[in-house]
Amino acid sequence: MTAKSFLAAWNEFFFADQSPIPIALFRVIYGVMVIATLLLLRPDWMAWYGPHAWVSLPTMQGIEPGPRLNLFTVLPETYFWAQALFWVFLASAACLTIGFLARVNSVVVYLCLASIQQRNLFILHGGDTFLRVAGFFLIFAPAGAAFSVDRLIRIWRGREGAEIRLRRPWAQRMIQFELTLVYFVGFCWKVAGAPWVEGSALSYIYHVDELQRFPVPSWFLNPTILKLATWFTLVLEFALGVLIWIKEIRYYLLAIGLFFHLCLEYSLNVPMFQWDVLSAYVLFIDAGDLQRVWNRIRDRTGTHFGEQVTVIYDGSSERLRRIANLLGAIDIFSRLSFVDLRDAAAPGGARMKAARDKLEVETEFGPRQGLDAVRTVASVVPLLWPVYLVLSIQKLFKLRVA
Amino acid sequence: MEQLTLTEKYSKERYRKFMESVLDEKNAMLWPDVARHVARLPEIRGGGPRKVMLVARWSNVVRQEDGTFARGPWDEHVFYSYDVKPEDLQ
Repeated sequence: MTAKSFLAAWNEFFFADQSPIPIALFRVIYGVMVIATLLLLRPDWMAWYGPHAWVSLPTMQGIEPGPRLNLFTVLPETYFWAQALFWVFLASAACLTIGFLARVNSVVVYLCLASIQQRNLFILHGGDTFLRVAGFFLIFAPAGAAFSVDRLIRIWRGREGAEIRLRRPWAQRMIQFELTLVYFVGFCWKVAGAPWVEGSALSYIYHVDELQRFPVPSWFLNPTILKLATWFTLVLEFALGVLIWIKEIRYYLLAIGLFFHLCLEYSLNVPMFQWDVLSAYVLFIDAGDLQRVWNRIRDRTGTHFGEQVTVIYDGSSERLRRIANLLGAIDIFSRLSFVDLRDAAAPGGARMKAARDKLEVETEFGPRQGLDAVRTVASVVPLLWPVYLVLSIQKLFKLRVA
Repeated sequence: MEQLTLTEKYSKERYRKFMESVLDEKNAMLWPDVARHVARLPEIRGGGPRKVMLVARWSNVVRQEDGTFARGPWDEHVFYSYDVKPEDLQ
């Protein structure tokens, strides 16, 4: 490989446009991980981060001297501000999850996450650190490009169409690297320790009562099995740290990794660690494959949400075109089909006139317009079920009044 | 940790992690803070604590002759003692 071809491959890897679907999906899962971490911390929030916490702020600053990204050092050290930080953090994580002001909220989430980690370094596990580092790169990623309220707003404002624009994946690549480093560094630390090399490490771990969660089968505690499992862990960590970049074996490794982490989640009590690590697996799945998997799920489950509904609109109206695009983006189970009256196949004449100002919906009981049309559409689009519920209650109330 | 329910164990795991750090002599700078926090716990503060002693309780996992592993007998020692000052309870 020449220097020129290496540079070209490097640029292709980091900067060639690709679908932002994996990183957008990661943003959703990441947000859920942060929320779950926060909720687990909630009962002891004051004990860890309050003004009279287990570790005082001056002690922590003495341990970690110098400037640190830690909001606790600039906020007044009171119960009120410690509580306020929790709620701001939670609200921001929720907004990040749904993709509302994704960029701003990724910054806020990162700042809050860095702050609580800096406030007490002694209660962290590798999953927490992974979340923090991934959160940093998420700030620069096109995380709100899909599955987000931001996208719906952009569609509504006419800045974006139905197609999801391709983006540069460098920030996604950095998170991928971070995940592989978690495994590779883990592997390097382990091989430096005699218990892992001689195969006794898991025997120790599975005899520490404090770490146990659900009971494991007795055959698993057999010394030979534990020895093999110890070595298997080493091999797997090396493979997930290095060989995962080989496309042909990537999905096999991800499947084994998934099984491995689920086994650990079952048997060992390390809250959130496995899920934090697994959250980034989605970044290694090709966007096309994600789409294919989703199409399969959609085809199998979509019909349960009711018959497909045809939405007729006049594409020459800017407002109606935006609404149709918006509905298309929300309709993740493809329960809607759209007919633009400008198309040759569209019904003409009176229908054209009727649909000029409003959306019209074709149902088996005839056409619907106005709130009835919205209600019909909302009934088959799961993300609009809250709207359907509100409109149904309103309709029921009107009928009773009448 | 062994005495907690599964749910409690899941949400309180950070205490186990924290105590793991506290027991390490490299982190001795944490001991006064931990002792003060213990003195301020509502169930202890009420009794007017004058001294807090941090006790390590452990049992080694020992390899048996047949290659299996088992826990040895429990042992304990006081690794830090702190005289509570009135201002600690403010």
